[in-house]
Amino acid sequence: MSESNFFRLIENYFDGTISATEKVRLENQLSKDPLLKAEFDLQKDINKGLKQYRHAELKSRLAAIDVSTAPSTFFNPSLQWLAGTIASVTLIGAVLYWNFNKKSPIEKVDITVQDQLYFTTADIASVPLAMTENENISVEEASLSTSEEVENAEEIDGTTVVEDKKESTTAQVKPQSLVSFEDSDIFHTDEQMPTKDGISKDITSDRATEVEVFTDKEFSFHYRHFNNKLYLYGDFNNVPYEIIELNTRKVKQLFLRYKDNIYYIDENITEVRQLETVENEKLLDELSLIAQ
Amino acid sequence: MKLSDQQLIERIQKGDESALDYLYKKYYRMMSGLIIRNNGSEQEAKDVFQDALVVFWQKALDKDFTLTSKISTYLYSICQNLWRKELDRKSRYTDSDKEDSEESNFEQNERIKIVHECINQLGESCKQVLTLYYFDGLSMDQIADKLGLANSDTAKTRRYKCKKKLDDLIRARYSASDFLD
Repeated sequence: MSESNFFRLIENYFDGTISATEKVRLENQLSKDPLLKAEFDLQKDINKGLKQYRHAELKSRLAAIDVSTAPSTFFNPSLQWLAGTIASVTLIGAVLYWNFNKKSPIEKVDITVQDQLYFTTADIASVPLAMTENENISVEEASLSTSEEVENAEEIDGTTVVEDKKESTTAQVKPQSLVSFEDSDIFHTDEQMPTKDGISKDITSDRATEVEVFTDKEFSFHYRHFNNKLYLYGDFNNVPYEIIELNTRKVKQLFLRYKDNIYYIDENITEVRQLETVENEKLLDELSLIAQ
Repeated sequence: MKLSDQQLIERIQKGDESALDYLYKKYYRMMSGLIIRNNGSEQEAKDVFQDALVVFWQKALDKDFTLTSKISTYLYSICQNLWRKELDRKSRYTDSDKEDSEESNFEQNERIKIVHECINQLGESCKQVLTLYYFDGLSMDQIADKLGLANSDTAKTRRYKCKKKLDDLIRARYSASDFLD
């Protein structure tokens, strides 16, 4: 084979078109011919140099791209969709949680008792500023008391309201059995208080509660209470009972007085439930005052 | 614009370098995260991912290339291998090794440097023909198409002339001893 033919083999070698037999023949010749070997090395360098040149060209093209704002994997469309869904669910959940847990602002508590005692807690709170100037009602902290009942009130609220006898107030306050849902802890310490038991906070009804009594073998001392109607199950036709009603502007709480005990009547009880005794002593004191 | 893996491969096989730009932007965070999590710097991450894309470019240009996984998976494994090699090289590359290696590579580096200088003396058209042929492995038809030449024969003639010119430039720079060593 002539030298030019070996040069052609070198070219084929770097093109990748050389056959196996040609490759063996070339390798044999390279080991014997230093000039051919020098030509082979030259072509090898040229090939390597061209590849490096192109490699560097492509790399410099990529290096010129600003990737500081390149989207991370997190922002690929599928994850964006997932993130959006999670955000929406969280937002809706937060709104629902807020609405369901939002306590109705209880500003006033009206306690209806047999002797038509009306008392407004909010009046107590507002008296110091609003009423002292116009109606000469003064508020003293834990000082004067006009009756034993007022002392009870002091224990609960730490505030005593004294009626100015010279000028009557529209509140017509008789300072006794002063109980506030808002200020006193006695309405919140018992687990079975209506606010913790699902009582509707928006019920404000002036309608009298209807009562219907059932005698049922299965339910001997139970009740249901919804739509302003109380269903009593047990021996209520033969033994007198009394319904005590506490009203605020937005909340109505019923209690049942029966055989010297007082029981909770919660609102919106559609399933028959056993009557449960009120055991909170402060609440019992207040209810007994009301029911006297 | 969102491109599928198949569309990207088709673009690369047509020699469309913008497909590389797209892949670089799309997967930079993922690939740089791999390097940085494994004791690499941001600059090393860029370097490795750029190298990986060039490797991928060459592979995808092969007429026998078949994509058997997602491009991201493919790139990820190239990056892993390149970074593993780099860490290996770093751990083995002590100062004494460095001196020995530098001595043995000095002569070859000088020759490659001459080659680069000679390539830079060529016109842009010659550089493109030669690099597309020797690095990208494009056929004469593809080169003609990409460079807007009349046909493959024109491309072939140009490649021949450009290669001869480069050979001559390099031969003139190489000393006689280089050829006789």
